[in-house]
Amino acid sequence: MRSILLLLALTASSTAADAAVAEERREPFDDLRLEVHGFVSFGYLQSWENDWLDETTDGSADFHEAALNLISRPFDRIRLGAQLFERDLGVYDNGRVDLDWAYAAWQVGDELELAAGRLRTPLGLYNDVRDVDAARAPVFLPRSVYALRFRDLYVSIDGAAAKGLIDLAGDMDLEYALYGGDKRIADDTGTTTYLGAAGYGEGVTVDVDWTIGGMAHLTTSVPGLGFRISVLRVDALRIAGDPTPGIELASDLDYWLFIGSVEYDLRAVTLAAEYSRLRGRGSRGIAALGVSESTQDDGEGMYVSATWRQKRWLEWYLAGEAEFDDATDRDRSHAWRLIAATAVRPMAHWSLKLEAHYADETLETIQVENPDGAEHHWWGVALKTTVDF
Amino acid sequence: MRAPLILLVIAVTVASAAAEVAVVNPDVAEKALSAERLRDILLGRVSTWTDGKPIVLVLSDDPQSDGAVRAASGRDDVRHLLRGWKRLVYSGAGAMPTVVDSVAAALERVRRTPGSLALVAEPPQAEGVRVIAPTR
Repeated sequence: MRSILLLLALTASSTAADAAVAEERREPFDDLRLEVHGFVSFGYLQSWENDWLDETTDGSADFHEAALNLISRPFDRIRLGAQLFERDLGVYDNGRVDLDWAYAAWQVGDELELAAGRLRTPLGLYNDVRDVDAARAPVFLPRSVYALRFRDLYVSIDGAAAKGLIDLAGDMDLEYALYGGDKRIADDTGTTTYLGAAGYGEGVTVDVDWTIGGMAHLTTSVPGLGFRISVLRVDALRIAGDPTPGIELASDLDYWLFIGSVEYDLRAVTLAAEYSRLRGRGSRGIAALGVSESTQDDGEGMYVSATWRQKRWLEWYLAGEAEFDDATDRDRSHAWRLIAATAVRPMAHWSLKLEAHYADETLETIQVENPDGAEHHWWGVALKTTVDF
Repeated sequence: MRAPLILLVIAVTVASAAAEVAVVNPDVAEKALSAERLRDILLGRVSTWTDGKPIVLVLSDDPQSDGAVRAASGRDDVRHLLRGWKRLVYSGAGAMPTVVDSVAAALERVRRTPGSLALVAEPPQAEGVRVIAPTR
């Protein structure tokens, strides 16, 4: 981990130092049109009443992320790229380094780009940029739609995609993306850690048969106003683990995920609202005991947010969100949250963020983190600073 | 009544005349560029010219460019526009524009780089580049 951070720091300083010189001379790999980018961030989490992601009531500095990518355009219309990513989020991921994305893309035209490899999935407005601090003012995306502990499950697929931009009448256009492939989740990811804590116990494995999805984003003739729908189908999401040594609990569900989004960018102010609905159907059981039952997952989340860019270097953010464990019975486990955040950007490549949230109810807390039971009203604060290049 | 109308027409005409322009390297095949296509180029939604060659976008991270960026892209300023590009770069959906620190440096980069485009607030007095006023 330290070596990656050191490499990032050296690359960043080297890039900055070379910038002026690069103006006047030809770079070594110009024909490959190579670019190197990355970011590194450090943060701090503190909560009151409930632990969240870690023993955060005592404060936790186990919060950092780093990425390093290489992009090349060796031929007209061809783009290649790969990114390594590491994250430590409390007890999740613990600095493991992963191949975040790696692709070859062929730009056939404005209307069509074909890509293959490990590709980010365009779910909702922000899933494909969920790690990009530059893309938002708050520290975290709204957790009701962008599940923090399931990043690995949603962030990418190994497969192929087609996307493009189609001009429509009256200054409108349509961005679309269609994708499909496999989904691989290593045994030591944040997702498996969470599933283990949520009842699957030790040695959690996650596997899927295949996944497909699509996104359509309509930019309207009203400047800045766009609507988006995203759909994801996951076939046979199989989760297995040992809650008790030698006894395997296994589930097998087919999932649909739908997200409807609206974004209105009024230059200094951006308004966004999204609604997400999960529908899973399948079975769960313990084979050794001959126990199997049908099970379903009907999660639901929604939020509205406003971001105000007061100055070139200062942003404010306010959001309200709701999350329900079962959309068919909202009185069951749920949570309401109010989030306020500010982002200060002293330089183009450096940000400082402060986010506070108040939560009513306990959906996002888990028993392992709060063994004596979770409080129904609780607070949290996140600090984060990021440097990118 | 007519006088205010005439003044309004003159004001709109002057505003149009002072609008931002695209400066491109002479090898760029496009002779015209719509305001919508220029916006899509600035936002990274379009990355190739019509002949298939890659668009090399040159941005000047200079507060003096904020007005032109605001008018042409709908983004609040150059930094806001660049944050949109970081979304593309860190999600594997694009490559970063060339960023320089002044309009003069942007013009020089466009002069030297095939396929390049820069946005400036008014037509420059510079050789070795071509100016395209976006059509609306």
